[in-house]
Amino acid sequence: MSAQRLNAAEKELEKYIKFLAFKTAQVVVQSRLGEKIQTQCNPLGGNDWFNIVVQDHPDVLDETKRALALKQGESILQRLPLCVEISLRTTEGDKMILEVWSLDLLPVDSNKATAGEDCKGEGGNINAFNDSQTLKASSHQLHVIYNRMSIMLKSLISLTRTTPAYKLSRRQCPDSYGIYYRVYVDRPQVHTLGERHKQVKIGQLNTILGSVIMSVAYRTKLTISPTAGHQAAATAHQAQQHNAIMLKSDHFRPASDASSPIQQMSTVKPAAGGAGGAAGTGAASDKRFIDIEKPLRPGAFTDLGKLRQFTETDFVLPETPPFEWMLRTRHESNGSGSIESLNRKCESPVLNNNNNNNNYSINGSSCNNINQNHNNNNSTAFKSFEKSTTAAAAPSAASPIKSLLIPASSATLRYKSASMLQEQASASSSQLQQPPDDDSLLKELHFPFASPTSQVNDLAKFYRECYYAPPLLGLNELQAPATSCSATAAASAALSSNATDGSMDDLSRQLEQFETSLEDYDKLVSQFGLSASSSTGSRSSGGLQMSN
Amino acid sequence: MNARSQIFDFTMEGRQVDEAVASIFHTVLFHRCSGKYMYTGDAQYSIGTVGYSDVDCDFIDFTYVCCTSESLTRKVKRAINVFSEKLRSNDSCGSGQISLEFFQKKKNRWLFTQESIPWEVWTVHLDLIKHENEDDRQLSRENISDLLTEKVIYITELMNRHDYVPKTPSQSELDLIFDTSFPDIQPYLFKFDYSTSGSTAPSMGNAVKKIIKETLAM
Repeated sequence: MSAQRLNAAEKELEKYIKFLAFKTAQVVVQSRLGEKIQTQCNPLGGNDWFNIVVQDHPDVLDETKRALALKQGESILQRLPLCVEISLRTTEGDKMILEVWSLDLLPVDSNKATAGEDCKGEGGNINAFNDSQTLKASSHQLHVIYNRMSIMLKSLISLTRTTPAYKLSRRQCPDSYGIYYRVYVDRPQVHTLGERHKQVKIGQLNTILGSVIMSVAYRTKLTISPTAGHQAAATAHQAQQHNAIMLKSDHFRPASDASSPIQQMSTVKPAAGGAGGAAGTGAASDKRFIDIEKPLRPGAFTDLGKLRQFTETDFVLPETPPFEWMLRTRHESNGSGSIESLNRKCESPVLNNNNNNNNYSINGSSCNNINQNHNNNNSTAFKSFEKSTTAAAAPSAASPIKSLLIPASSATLRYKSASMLQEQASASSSQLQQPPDDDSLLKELHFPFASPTSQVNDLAKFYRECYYAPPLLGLNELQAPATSCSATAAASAALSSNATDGSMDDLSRQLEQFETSLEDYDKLVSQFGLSASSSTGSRSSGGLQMSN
Repeated sequence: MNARSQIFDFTMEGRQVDEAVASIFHTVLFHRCSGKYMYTGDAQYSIGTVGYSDVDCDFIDFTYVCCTSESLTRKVKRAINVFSEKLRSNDSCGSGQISLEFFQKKKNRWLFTQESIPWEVWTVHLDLIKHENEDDRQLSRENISDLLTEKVIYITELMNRHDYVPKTPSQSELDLIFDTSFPDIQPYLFKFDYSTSGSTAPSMGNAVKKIIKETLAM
């Protein structure tokens, strides 16, 4: 085999490795965008490398190129290993490196032993590459290598969906945490992955240029506390000082699923310097642990939007009179009891807006950063990015807190139409004290085009009288103290007491009447010629009840 | 027949069966699919490209990747569905297995028979359980997700081992190696096989097949 031909094969192989590196970065970063990916098959043969449709994200491509820093004519072989680091950062500023995907090339000499081992293990394989074969780089073998790289890339695609970081990336949102990436050329920094991190070798491919190895190391301990976060940040900072590598970390779009459990968790989290000023919750959450490993997961088929997220405030029992729920104040209970659901309704569009804003602003700022900080060292790039994120995140972080503190009335204000509200606002205080027989029914019986003096009104009155059972006295007594704070309390109390007095009078009068006509009843019974048996007794008492 | 064989054991609830099996089989098929071969000349051909899709499971906390091919998805789904319904039916003993078998055809002297030689078999063995309460169910949901992760890692490890796969044939013999019936992709020839009568007892159909085969061999 001529040296020229070997050289051509090497060049070709080098190109394969280069594109494998580019595609690796694309696949890893795209899998962490927080969304499902779907690419279409092209049976007519496209220009996609390795026969897999992986669309190139320009930002990621730029980053990979920048990390590799290949000058014209320079070989990629000297630049490997290439690493893609995925990390998580919370709105509180805690950072955690989740995983490092790497593509490495072991030189031919050092991989002799491993190649030999491979072949021992796969005795009798047709396509196995051993040392003698690697020297003969024919076009057929290049084709085989190309196919192997294709399988390696497919394995990478499959594996990116299985590590814990994938689930986290699907739940990311700007209010709780974001997933960031960094592309660098160095040995993978696995010490940042904490204890018991796992290492998985995705594939190894022996070629004439060396052994291409694709692997991933990922964190298994996903619980961070603020202190641990600071330590991690400190180590990360140290690492940055050692290696002058640009950090690029942003263009992830927020999770499209606005009601994911993590996000709901985040609505009770105080954002750093949140303008909502939830001082109470802020103080309480200083020592709170964020367990990302086991978030509260809803079961299948649950409507995530309707899930209630409990906060510390739920543990403080409200000071309400016992059995208040028995009071017939439907309008009020609608208002206050479902603050949460109302908030959700009001909140979700707001959040979505924020998400969008963030998305754009982060994207915009990141681009600026990159442009400005081409040759800056890491820390400055990092910092400037941090600023832009916090600035962008502040309004969105404040909004949930704000909305959680919305009083019932203002919540309804947003929710209901203005005309209805005015009516309600004026009536809301008086509604409390009135005997609960009126307004809704009256409204129902205001027939259109009927004059106030028409006969229909009599019907309405009659209907109203029959519709409700006489109110319990006890309820009125309960309501009276509850409404004492309002200005109209005294007047309405008087009104209600008058009404009850009236009904009491009626009752006593009736009783008197029955007592006086008791003889008549006795006569009637004796007329039937029956003795005072239990059956007649019950009958007569039934009659009494009826007349009552 | 020296087919490589892999068996995965799972214990899960009936409703999780379809998704668990699909995640294993689709991961395998994704690796065993190439782009469609388009022949331009006698020995010249171009290869199409394979798209992929993420699939979220409903009953397991898991996402897997499959080829973006409606016809392939339908075929796999139908096979798994038939198995799953048998497995979950009342007259089942709650245990069964389904296998995905890659084979190549061999031209035979007999005109009307074509020998199928399996070269790789992936079997998922399942035992059904019922959880008493929601806590157990949640726990198993997570456990199965971890188990599937483990299996997918194992599958990718095997796929990159450079084991035997049939060589790409000439155009005339393409059908002996690849399933060319799909419009968008071209997987190696594969078929599904299942049994739900418990792991050891052979099914009636298999027994009859065996008898016929033996008779013919004589």
